[in-house]
Amino acid sequence: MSTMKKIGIVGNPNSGKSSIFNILTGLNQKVGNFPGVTVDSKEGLLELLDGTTVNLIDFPGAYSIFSNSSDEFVMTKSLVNPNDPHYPDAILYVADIRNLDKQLLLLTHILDLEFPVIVCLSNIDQVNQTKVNEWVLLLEQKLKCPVIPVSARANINIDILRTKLQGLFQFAHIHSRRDPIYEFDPSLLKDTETLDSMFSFRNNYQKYLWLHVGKEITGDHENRMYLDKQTSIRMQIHETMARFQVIESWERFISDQHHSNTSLIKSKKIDRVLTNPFFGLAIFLVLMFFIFQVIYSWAAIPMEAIESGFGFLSDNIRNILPNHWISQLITSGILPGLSGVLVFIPQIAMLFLMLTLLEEAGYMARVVYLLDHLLRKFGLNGRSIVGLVAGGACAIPAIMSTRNISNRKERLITMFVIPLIPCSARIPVYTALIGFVVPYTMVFGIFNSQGIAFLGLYLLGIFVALITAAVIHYFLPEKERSFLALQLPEYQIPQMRQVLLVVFEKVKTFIIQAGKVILIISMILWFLSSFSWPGELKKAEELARVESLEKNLSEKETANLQDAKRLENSFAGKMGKLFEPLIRPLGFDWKIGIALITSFAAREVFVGTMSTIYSLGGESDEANLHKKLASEKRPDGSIFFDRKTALSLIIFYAFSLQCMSTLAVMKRETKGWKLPIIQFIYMGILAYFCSLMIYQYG
Amino acid sequence: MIIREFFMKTIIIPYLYGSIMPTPTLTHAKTILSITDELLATRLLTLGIFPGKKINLIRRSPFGGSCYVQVDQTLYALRAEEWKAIITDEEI
Repeated sequence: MSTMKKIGIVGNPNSGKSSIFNILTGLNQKVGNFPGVTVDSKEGLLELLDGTTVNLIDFPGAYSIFSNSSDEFVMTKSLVNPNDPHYPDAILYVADIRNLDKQLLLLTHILDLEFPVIVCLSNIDQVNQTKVNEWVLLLEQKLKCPVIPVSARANINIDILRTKLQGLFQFAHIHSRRDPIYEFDPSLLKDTETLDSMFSFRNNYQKYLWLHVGKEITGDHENRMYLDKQTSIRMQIHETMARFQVIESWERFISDQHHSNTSLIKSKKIDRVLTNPFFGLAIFLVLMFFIFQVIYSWAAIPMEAIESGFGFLSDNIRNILPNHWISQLITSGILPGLSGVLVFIPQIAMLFLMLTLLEEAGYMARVVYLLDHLLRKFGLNGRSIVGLVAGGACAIPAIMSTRNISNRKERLITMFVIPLIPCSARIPVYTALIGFVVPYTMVFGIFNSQGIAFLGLYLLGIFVALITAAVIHYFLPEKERSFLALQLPEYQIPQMRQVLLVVFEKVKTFIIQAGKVILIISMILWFLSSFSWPGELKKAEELARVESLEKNLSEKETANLQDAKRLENSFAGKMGKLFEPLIRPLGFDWKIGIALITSFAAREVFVGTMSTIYSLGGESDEANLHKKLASEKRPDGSIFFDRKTALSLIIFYAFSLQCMSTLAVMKRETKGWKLPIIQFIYMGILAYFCSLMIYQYG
Repeated sequence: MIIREFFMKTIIIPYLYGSIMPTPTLTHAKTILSITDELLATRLLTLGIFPGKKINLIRRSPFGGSCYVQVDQTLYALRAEEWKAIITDEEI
C-alpha cells in the first residue's frame, strides 16, 4: 500500500469531484477515516493503462488551501505536510466549468506547491462548446498543465482522462515545473532552517504554508517560528486577493463570461418561488410530509417481505436442525438480529434517495438558507435540517449526516437531539399501544384519530428536541465562530448514477455500523432470555405443564405458555423482576421490564418480546398483541393497560435512548464515550420523569 | 403612524423584498468596499466575495433572517450579521 502512488482529487465543494471519483473507481472504493477528524476518507483503486494501480483519494471539498472548517483542513494538512499518510504524489484538480472563476483559487495554490497536476473541467455538457474550447486553450497556456474537459454525466472524455493520468507520472517533472503565481514575502522564511531537517518540503511555498498551519498540525503552540493568528489572517487575505487579481486578468480573454448564463437566470426564477419567505417554508413542509408519506407506504411492502422471509427461514431451520442450543442461537439469536438490521433498509434507502435527489438538484442548500435563522435560535445550524429530517427514519445515518456542520458546538447539539426525533423503530411500539390511549374514530370524516395521535407524537419529538437544543445552547460555551456563508449551487437535474452511489454508501454504512451492534446485542439477549441458573428452566417448564393440564390447554397453547414461563425464569426475566421496583412508579411490571431490556437491540423488538411473554408465541403481530394486552388485568382486578399506563409507556419509548446502535455511532462520531453516556443518561431521566408524571398525576 | 411604520418595517417590506416585487427594480448591484470582520473576510474571500466585487441583495428569509445575494454569476446565502459586515459604496 505504501509503495502505491497516490493521486489526490481536489476541488471546491459541488465541483463534481465525487462524480469524477466515482466514475474512475466505480464500486472499487473504500471508506476509511482521516485521523483526528470525523470526515471519511474516500479512497479507490484506479488501474492505469500500463497495468499499474494507483490509489485515488477523494479529499473533502475546499475553496482555498487556507481552510475554514475541519473538513477542509483535512486537505490542507495532507497537502502541506510531506509526512502525512495521505500526502499525494500528484493532483487531479476538478472544477465545474459553469462558474470557473471562483474555482481557480485553490488551483493556483496547488500549482504553486508544484504538484504534478491535471485539471479536469467538469459538467461541460451544460455549457456551449465555444466556451469550453476558450477556457481549455486559455488555461493550458496560463497554467502550463494538461486541461481536460469532461462530463461524468454524459461520459465525455473519461477515457482521455485515464490516459492523461498515466502520463502524469511518466512526465511528472514537466508537469510540475512552473513560475510561481503568487510571490510571498521571503523574509518570513528566515530562521526556519530547523524545519528543513524535519520535513523534505517540495519548495519554499510549502514551507511558507507550514508556517501558517504547522501550529495546528503539530499542536506546538509555543514555537515562535510559526505565524501568529493575526499575521496569518492578514497574510491570507493579502495572498488571496493577489491570486484573485491574477485570475481576473485571465478572465478578460473569455468572451461570454458575463453574459448568457441561462442556468443562473433559471435558478433565480425557480428561487423566486422556492425561497419565497412565505411559500418557501410551506413548500418545504409539504414536501417533507409527502416524502414521509411515500416512505411509510412504499417501504411497508419490502419490510413485510423481509420479516416474513426471515420468519419462514427460521421456521424451516428449526425443523431441519436438531434441537440443540446452536440451532436455537441461529433461529432465535442470529436470524432475528439479521432481520432487525435488514428490515430498516427499505426506509433508510428511500429516505436517503429522496434527500440525495434534493441535495443533488440543489434544493437542500435553499432549505438551509430558509431555516438557518430559525434553527440558530436553538443553537443549531441551517445545515442541521438534513440530520433532523433523516432522524425521522433512523438516527444512525442522521447522525452521520451532520458531518458537514463545521462548527463543533452546533454539530454536537444536532447529534445530541437527533435521537429524540421519532425513528421508524418506534412505530411498531406505538402501533401496539396507541389504541389504549386514543380509540379509533374518524375526525371530520377523513382523518382517523390514531393517525392524528401519531402526528402528535412526531411533533412532540421535534418540540422536545428543539427545547433540549436551546437548553444546551444556553449552557455550552461558544468556542469558535459560526458562519453560514454558503454558496447556493445552480439547480440541475440530478445524476441518477451519482445519487444511487450515495444511497448505496449510506445503506452500506448503516449495515456495517448498526448491523454489528444489533447482531451482537441480539445474541446477548438471546442468551439472557434462554438461559438461567441450572435447573430453573426445567422447573418452570414443569410448572407450565401442570398449569396447562389444569386448564386443559391445547398443545400449541401449552408450548406458548412454556415459552412464557421459560422467559419469566430466564436471566432476562430475573433482570425484569429486579428492575420492577424501579419502574413500578411508572405503571410498568416485570414483563414490560423484560421488553425494555430487549429493546436495546432495536426498539421494535418490544413487540416480539411482549408477544412471547404473554404466551402468544414470538411471531405475533401488533394487532394480536394489542388484543392480548387489552385483556390483561392487574392483581387487584383492574385493567392493566389503561390509558395512563399505555401513555406512560409510549412516552418512555419516545424519549429514552434504547438503541445500542445509536450509542455506538455517537461514540464513533464523537471519538469517545463521554457524549453518548451523557445523552443516554439525559434521555433516560427525561423519559423516566415524563412517564412518572403521566402515570402518577395524569 | 408609529404602528404603521413598525408594521411596514418588520413585516411588509421584508415580505415584499422576497416575493412580490421583481428583483431588478428593487435592488441593484453595489460594489464591495471592505469587510469589517477579518475572520469573516477570509471565509468570504475563499468563496469569491471580496472588495471590488459587485454584490446584490436579492431577498431575505422572513423576519430579518438570512440574505440571498448574488455576486457576479454566483448565488450565496449569508447571515444577517455577515451581510452587515460587508461595506458597500452606497453606505458611505
